[in-house]
Order: sequence, then structure tokens, then C-alpha cells
Amino acid sequence: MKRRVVSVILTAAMAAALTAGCGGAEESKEKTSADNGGKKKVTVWAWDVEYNIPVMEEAAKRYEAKHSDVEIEVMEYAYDDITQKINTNLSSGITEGLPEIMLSEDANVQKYLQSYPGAFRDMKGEVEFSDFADYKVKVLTLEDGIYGVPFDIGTEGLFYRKDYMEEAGFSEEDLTDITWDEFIEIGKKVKEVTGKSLMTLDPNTMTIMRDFMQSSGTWYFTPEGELNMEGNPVIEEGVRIYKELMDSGVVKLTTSWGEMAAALNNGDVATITSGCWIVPTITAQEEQSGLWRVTRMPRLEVEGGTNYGNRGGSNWLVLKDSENADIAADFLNEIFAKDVEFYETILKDIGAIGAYIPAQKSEAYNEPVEYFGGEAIWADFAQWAQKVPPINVGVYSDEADTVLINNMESVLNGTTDIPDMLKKAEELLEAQIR
Amino acid sequence: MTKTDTIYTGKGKRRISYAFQYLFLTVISLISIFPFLWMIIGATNRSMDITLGKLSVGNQFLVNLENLLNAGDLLTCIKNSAVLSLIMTLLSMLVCSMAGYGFVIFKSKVKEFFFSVILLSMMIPTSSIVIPMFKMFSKMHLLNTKLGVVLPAISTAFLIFFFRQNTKNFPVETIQSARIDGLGELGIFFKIYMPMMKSSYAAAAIITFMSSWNNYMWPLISLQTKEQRTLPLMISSLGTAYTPDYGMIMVGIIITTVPSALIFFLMQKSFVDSMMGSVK
Repeated sequence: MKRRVVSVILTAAMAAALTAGCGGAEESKEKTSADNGGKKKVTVWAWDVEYNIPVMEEAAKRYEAKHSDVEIEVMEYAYDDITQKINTNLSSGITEGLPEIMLSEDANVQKYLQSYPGAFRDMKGEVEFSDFADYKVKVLTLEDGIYGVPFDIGTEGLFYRKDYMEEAGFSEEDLTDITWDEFIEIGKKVKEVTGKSLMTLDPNTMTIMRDFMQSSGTWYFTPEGELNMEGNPVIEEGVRIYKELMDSGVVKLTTSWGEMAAALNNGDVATITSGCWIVPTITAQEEQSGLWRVTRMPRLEVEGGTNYGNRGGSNWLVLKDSENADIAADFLNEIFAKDVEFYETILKDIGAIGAYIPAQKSEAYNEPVEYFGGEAIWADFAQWAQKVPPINVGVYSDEADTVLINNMESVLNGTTDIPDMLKKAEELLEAQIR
Repeated sequence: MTKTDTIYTGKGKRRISYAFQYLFLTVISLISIFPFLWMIIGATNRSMDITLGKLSVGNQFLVNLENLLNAGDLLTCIKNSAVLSLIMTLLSMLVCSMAGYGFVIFKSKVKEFFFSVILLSMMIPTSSIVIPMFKMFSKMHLLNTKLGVVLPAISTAFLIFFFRQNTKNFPVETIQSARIDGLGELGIFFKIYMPMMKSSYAAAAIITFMSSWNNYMWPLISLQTKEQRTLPLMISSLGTAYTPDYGMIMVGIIITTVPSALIFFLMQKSFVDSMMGSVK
């Protein structure tokens, strides 16, 4: 009797669950098919509602205007959520729900390409890649294929407060094409005269080390994927500069994007070396209009050291097994690899600088920017982008960062020599990734 | 100085000690309430003011709200979240309370074994079963459906455990006399158990509603179109940016917090009662 009652209860509960849920399921299916209206749908996953999303929406609008049978849906997700979703989709081998196009940051492209061989579409024959900055194409290259279309660049510059620098007696010339050592010396003078710090530094990241390496054409790993930390003159010099920055007292330590932005907007620091996408963060503070300028970033005094770097920037990858991959590839080719007017629009409206070289001759790039004293900063960035040394970032850059951050302390407090620390760091990293 | 010491040593001392206790409690409450205050103040300021650490109320609330409405289909997301949370809460309360009830009231040899299996399932983190679940739901054609989101959340080990513990205090004699009076087992559950366990249900409702309202991982993985998107997914998508608009994000977070807070305050009394383990 009792057993029968239990089974009755369970059945009832299950039936209730099914009926309640099924209503939802049917409703959703009707919706998607109704919305499609027979059009072929291309789905794009991207992050940043202030930047990548409006850029993609503009591109979609332009393509849809010419191809009335295509509908492009741009889905905004958090950066980590895209990683999570795409990893689940690709590792389970299920193509249902795969987007046609996804955005991927320069530093992560190789991770995707190498972890999921065959998942992304080789665009080599479809797109004219000589129209893009060299280092951006390199990011997308694996063996013989080029997987994706470059989107924006994160060309670096040294942004500085003209007023503070003048007060300390430095002109634009004094700040241009200098080394990090010279830069630190300038910082000491600035601190002495104005009381302001030279720059912010986040001790929990290795962003600055990545800047050092990128601008000197090397990385934690060799192009073959071997570890390249121990005995790498660039990283040794980088660690020395890092210690020098810390010891000289010219940096303001910050531990988050918010603190860093506050230091800029409050006028606590005289400079920031960053990708060109930092511009909106600086210009958000209207009171400082006209006070900022930008020049080339400092270089490391090593073989191959240049004043041209890159931080951030991303690419559009096409998922080969998605439903409308062909249309997606055509869309990227038609807009992102051919449409100069599109690049002008996104620069003017959104402040996005594409990696597409033909667009950089257009008027929009040469327009003076009031905030930076009427200088044509976009043209500068576009020009500098072509001189950024191409590198191979490999797959384990984040892990390498972490190992360095953890071991930096022993160099800072003077208990370990730089070469010994790098040797130990490399061993630790080796143990972690092998 | 402990509380018992003070109570037995003179009135003056007791007062001073109370003063300290209240001071301490005030400071602690301020610390715990500050993030909420900051969220509300932030929602009324420009992103720029928030980075600069402005702590006074601004006049940008409507602008931020408008930006949020432009950033995505807020209303659809709210509707989806509400529908999902409601279904999840009702179903999982029904199913889990029946299970918890069954584990205590009915006698069976394999009962304890099954209960341990359920408890074991608490130890497995969602992230480790996401890929097999994704495959399963794809084969069942339940990806991107409400049913697909609800199904894995209906039965939770915690809630079954919660109802089992609360049912242990339930007077079994009531059930026996109901049986003698001729009430069926389902009748006993719905007409006697449910009304008597009102406060347990209230507590369970709060817990379940909050977890389904904030449910993140599985909806993120299984939902695929804009029409199905839930509120936490949308709010989260606003955070990754070269230049995040903090004012807009704060408004979004307030909208996300309000329902949970409301439900909690409405059912606070029952919640506390149930946590103290009383059956009325």
C-alpha cells in the first residue's frame, strides 16, 4: 500500500514537471522560427557593449543592406563566458548552438587553434591578408593556414600629461624614442618637481612584461613552443627594469582597472603606457582636455628592442562546422577586409582602429583630436602598428605570467639574482604545463 | 568580558557593556551594508564619478537606466528569469519536500543508501558535469529551451536534506491519527503536512528562488538565443569592456537584486522560524 502511494506521488510530481516545462519548450521553438522569417542566420559572439558589439552591429547593418536574405545576430557575452561556452561546445563535439563567428583576443587565438584543430575555418585563400598589419596576421597563422580575420589593433603609445612634463622641464622630444632607463630618470625628476607619480603599476599582473617582450619581438615561448625564459636577454632586462621601477619610487601601485582609471582621471600620474583603446578612459575626464599628448612608448635597451608595441586587440574567427559558415566568411571578407567606409565609421563613432591598412589613409584617421591638443593620434597609431614586431604568443602565457608574478618578490627583495629567478620560474612553469 | 559576566555585575557596568555591544554591532552593520549603499549611490552617478570614488547621490539614474535599456533587451531577460525562477521554485519545492517527507515517514531498507547517494551528489561541482550534460541535453533536443534549464535544477540534494531534517521534528502521531480517520497518503501530505510545515516551505522558497534567480552556469551553457537569455547573463555581459559603464552596471545589479531582497523581507519571519527548527 505504502509503496504504491510513493510511486503515485513520484509519478504525479514527474508529470507535473513535464507539463510545466513542456509549455516553455514549445513556446521557445516557435519563437526562433518565427523570428528567422526564412532568412539565413549568422550568429556572432563578442564581448564589450561599448566597443566590439556596436562595431559588429554596424558591420551587420552594412552587410544586411546588400544581402537581404541574411540576418546577423550579435550576442553579447562576458569575455569569460564566451570561453566557457565555446569550450563546452567544442569539447563535447556538438555543433548545435555553435555561433558562426566568435571574437578572440590576440593572446588567446593560438590556444583555440591548437586545442581544437579543425574547428576553425582557414581563410587563407578567401581574404587578402597583405592588407593587414603583419603582426596581426601572424597571430592567426598556424602551420599553413590563416584562421580568421584580424579586427582591431591595440597599438601602444606613451600617453603623458603635457602640463606636468613642462613643469618638470621635458618636451615631447625628450619623451620620444627613449629607453625605459631614460624614462625612469624622467620620472624621478617629475616626482621631485610636481610630486606626481610617473605611472601606475599593478603588481598582480605581468602586463608590463608582455609590453617589454612584444616590443622587443620575443615571448615566454619560442615559435616552436619551447620555454624561452631562462637566459632570454629581453626578459632579464625586463625584470631589471621592473625592479628599477619599483625601487625608484616613481610608480603608483594599483590593483585593479578601476584604481588605475581613477589615478589617470584624478591626475595622480603623469603618464600611462597602454594600447590605443585606453583613449576613451582618458577622455572621459573632460576637465583634462588639451592636457594629454601621446608619443611612442619607451623601448628596452636590448637587441631587437623597438618603440612599437601592442596590447590587446582581437580577431574574428569562423567556426567551420557552424550552420552558415560560408556566409559568415563572405560577410567578414566583404566588410572587414574590403570596406574602407566601414572602418571610417567605426573610428568616428566608436573610436575603434581596425588592422586594415587601406583604411588608414582615409580622412577620418587624419582628423585632429581636440583632447590631445589637436594631434592626429589615430593616424599615428595606425602608422606605428605596421612597425610592431610579429611574435608567437603560444598557449600558456597566462601560466607564465603567474609563475613570474609569484617569483618576482625574491628579486625585488634582493635575495635572488635575476638569472636564477628566471631559471627557477622556468622549471616551475615546465612542471606545470608538461 | 563575556555577556554573562556583565549581567551579574552592577547596572552601570552593564550599560557600558551594552553601549559597546551596540557600537560594535553598528560598525559591523555599516560595513556589511556599505556595498549595497555604494551600489545604490553608484547607480545615480556617471561611470567617471564612480571610478573617482564619489560617495554622494547624483542625478544620472535615468540616464544609466536608459543606457541599460539600450544595451540589451532588458524586459525579455527579466521575463525569462522570472518565469524560470517561478517554475523552478514551485517544482523543486514540491519534488524535494515529497522526497524529504518520504525519507522520514516511510520505512524502507534501501532508504539510507539512496539518501547517501543524494548527499554524494552534493559533492560534485556543476562545472565538472557540464560537458556530459550538454551532450545529453543536445541529444534530447532540450538545449535552448526553458525545460532544459529547469530540469537539472528541480531536485537538489540540499533541499531534500533540508526537508528531511525539518520533517524529523514533524509529529508522526498526527499522521497516524489522520490515517485512522481515513485520510489517504496524498491527502495527508497536502492537507496536513504542507500547512503545518508552512515556515519550512517559506525558507525553502527563499533559498530556491534566490538560487534559481541567480542561476548562472547551466543557463549560460544551455541557452543560445537572445529570446531565451536570463537577467544574470545579460548583466554579466556588460562587465567585460575596455571602458565599462559602471553606472549602467549598477542599475542592472539593483534590478537583479530587488526580487531576491523583496522575497526575503516578505518571508523573513517564517525563514527565521524555520531555521530555529519550530513546527507550528
